[in-house]
Amino acid sequence: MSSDRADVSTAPLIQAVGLSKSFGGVRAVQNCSLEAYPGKITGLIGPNGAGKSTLLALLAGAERPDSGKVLFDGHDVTRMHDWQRARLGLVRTFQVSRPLGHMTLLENMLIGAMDMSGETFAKAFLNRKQWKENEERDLIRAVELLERFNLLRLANDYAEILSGGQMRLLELARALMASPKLLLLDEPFAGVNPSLAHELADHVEQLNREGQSMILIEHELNLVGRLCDPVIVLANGSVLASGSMSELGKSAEVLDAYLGRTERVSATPLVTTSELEMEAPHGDA
Amino acid sequence: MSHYLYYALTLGVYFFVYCLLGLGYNLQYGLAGINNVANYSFVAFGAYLAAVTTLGPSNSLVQSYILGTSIAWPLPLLVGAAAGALTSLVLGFIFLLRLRHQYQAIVTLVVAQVIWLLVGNNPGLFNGYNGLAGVPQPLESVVNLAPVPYEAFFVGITALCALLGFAFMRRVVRSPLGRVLRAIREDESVASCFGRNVFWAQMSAFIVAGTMAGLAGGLLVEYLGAWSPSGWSPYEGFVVIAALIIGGTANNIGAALGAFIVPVAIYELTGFIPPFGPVNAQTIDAFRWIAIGIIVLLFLWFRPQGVLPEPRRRFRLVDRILVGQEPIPGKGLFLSQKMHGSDATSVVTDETK
Repeated sequence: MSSDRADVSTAPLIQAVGLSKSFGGVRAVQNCSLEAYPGKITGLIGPNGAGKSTLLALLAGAERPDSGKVLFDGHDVTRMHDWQRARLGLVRTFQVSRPLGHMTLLENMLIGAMDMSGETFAKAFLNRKQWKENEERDLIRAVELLERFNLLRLANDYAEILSGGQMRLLELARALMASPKLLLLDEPFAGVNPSLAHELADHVEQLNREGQSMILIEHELNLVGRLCDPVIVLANGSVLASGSMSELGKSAEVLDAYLGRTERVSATPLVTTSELEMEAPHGDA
Repeated sequence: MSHYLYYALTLGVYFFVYCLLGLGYNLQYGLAGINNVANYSFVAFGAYLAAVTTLGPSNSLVQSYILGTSIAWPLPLLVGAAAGALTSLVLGFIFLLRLRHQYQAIVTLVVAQVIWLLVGNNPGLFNGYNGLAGVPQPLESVVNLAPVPYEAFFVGITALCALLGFAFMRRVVRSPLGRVLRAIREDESVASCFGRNVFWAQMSAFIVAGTMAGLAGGLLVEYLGAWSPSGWSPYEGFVVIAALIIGGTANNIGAALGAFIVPVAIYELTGFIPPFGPVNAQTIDAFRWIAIGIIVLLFLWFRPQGVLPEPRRRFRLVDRILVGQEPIPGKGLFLSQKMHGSDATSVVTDETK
């Protein structure tokens, strides 16, 4: 699997150092540190309420940490807003698909393009030639991506008419329009049928082969095992373990935290990855 | 006969002024998704500032006000527009930084009421509840026209402002700026996570809309010759909101249509119905408010998109690809002129190049 993928450099693309975040009395993320490397899909798993989505929001800038730092591509982005991080190449998708419903698929894609020419009153009026050229370039890219995700025939339709699975595809395509350095995927396979989930996984795998770096939150451990290396396990807002799925499957700590078992386990795994998948709860808090 | 013509021209002034107001409100509410119920406060500040820069120095025996001076037309109009912009800039920090949805609407309503009370209860500002009167009409002595021709002249001024506003908004809607504002309206988190500074995008739309409202206020006070708090109560702002809901949100032609239906056909036109039998002027006034309320309610129930819905933008490039044709380099961006079935009224056409 990993041999197909792009070369991994030693410098992490994103680094979280001692991140903590509380909501009222609830400590969602506690002193959490992790790294993700270019060219890899880093998996983020854990039971419901483990703090995965909060951690993703902290990385993306949608939430500000109470303490700790986020370093991205050589920048300390801790105090940056999400839109500032996005401009550096840090783009996220959402756990629940968020299409811009009363805009066409193409318009959704053009928002993903992050081409800022013509987006102020002055530039809209004075810089018309420039934004027309850029818009044409972005449109051609949007068409290519919509074709890749089998959405081209709906390009001029409103996004609100899409099925749940198509919205997932659009969300991924729209994120790719930004040409992100790092893509944060929050349960991209949630709520879609198994066939489409595997189609989506194929897309994710292919994108990674093309060099796209990602952090992926997912409950379907078979898919995590197929796509991600390394995998980071979160429990109670902290990093519990990290490694390949096969390594984690042998970890007693991980099994305890993920399945809520209290008995100690031997070096031989008590449960297999597929059993983990069956018992893991779906949908995140 | 000249009475009827004068009356028609009066309605023409109101129509074009409300077009300008509707287009500005369409920018902030229809496109940028700002729930501002205080829109008439910007009209009021535009009107007051245009008035005090026309009236000359204050004479406290007659009426007292601040900044009294007399500058040549059309500078008072520009001062009114600037007043609208400045008011928007200040209030924008209150309305746009942290407030969203119904909370935003409630706060704008409260702020509008506070401003109304402050202006009314501080006679030193703009002569309190008595308001300002005796504002001369623009270029009256220069053009030296009889009442009806002058009325036509004033219709021309307002029509020019409305047309400029329409052309401006047409460009905004068809530019990437319009697309970003609509994206913010649909889901600001998405716009933000794709690199858009939501606050400043909304703030810029809010300021431009405030500028248009301030200009409309300047036109109104120059036409009416007087301005007082009774003329800009929160009810007046409701007329603009109702016009956009009925005409069609996020549709510039819809904004103009709404300006004809609500402020002109329902609000102003019924004001000229003579009292008859038990129906006096107050009864007519009450019934027109009831009528506007009922019509808005019916639209929100049965046709929330308004008479003319928001146009759906199709890209000809994709239309060509879908029918197996090669896109034409340099021509691909034109929005399609094709109209499809029930979408016929909602497909935008673009011949802007």
